[in-house]
Amino acid sequence: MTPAVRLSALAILAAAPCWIFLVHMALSRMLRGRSRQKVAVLAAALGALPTGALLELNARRAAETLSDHPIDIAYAALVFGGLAYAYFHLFNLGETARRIRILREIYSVGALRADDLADAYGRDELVTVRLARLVETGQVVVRDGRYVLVGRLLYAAARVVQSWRALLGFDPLRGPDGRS
Amino acid sequence: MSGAVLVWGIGAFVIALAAHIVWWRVRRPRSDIAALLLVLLVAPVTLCIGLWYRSRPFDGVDLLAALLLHVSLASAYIQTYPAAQAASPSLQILLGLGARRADGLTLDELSAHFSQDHLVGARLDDLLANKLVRPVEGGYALSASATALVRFFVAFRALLGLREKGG
Repeated sequence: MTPAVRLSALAILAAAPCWIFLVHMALSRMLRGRSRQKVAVLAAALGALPTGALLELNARRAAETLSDHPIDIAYAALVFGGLAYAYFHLFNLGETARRIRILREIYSVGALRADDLADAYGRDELVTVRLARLVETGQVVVRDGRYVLVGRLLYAAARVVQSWRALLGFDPLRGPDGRS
Repeated sequence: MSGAVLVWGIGAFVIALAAHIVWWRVRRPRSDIAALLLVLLVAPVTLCIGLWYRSRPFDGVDLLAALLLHVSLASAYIQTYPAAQAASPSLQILLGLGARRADGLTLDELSAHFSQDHLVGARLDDLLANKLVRPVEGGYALSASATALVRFFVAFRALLGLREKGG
């Protein structure tokens, strides 16, 4: 491939978050009421379609196809995977991060005391919102008024994060039962 | 594209990640956002450009490809880091429920674990350390970068049709 075609391919890949965002804009309106995290994951996955189509069209400018270049496909998959994963977590920051929520509370009134912040963001709200998300994503169910873990995916992620915290020298995470 | 691009991109990320682990274990930086950007993005990109300039193992387009691969992997890690650093309540809830298995936990049992300091105090300390908020008379106000950050998220969520506050 010529340098110009290769450079165009890099620009298409670097813009992957834009393609994902466009897909996400459409999906979040079409699937209103569904779990926002699931919609974001779906958008990140479906963002591969426009990205792949644009890469294929670009390769044809050089009278080739993507399948002629297996290393390029592996490269594109790695770059797209990294950017799609980062996109999902960027979206999730706006949805779930306490720091972003605190910044938004201060932004909305100009300045806040720590007590006002605690009032604006109550303990019960923190837990119920998170439990609702875990129920929506099918990781937790409610049985006789008790929350029970049924999915293994996010629990496995929690264990990985716990191990990573230990590797970085942070204190271990402790669950509500007091065990780490 | 040559396989060397994959080696450079992945290699730069692995080396940067190892440097991050060593740095955090030896002495965790107070302003961890700036330190993370330095060790995972600025330093490896600068080093890669310097090494490439000395030996020119491939052309400039392949260098850009290696840097893009590194940046995509580093971005993925940087976005994951807050979940580990900030003791995510969701992950704590999952660990608690996982430990109790079929018995589960009630809302009261779960809520009792989280103090107001856990909710707000520790995160406010992070925001102060990273200079995203500053103390003013009568409380805390946003820095210019925090204001830009909030505006970005407000616009981002509005374009997705999400109006109510997250968090």
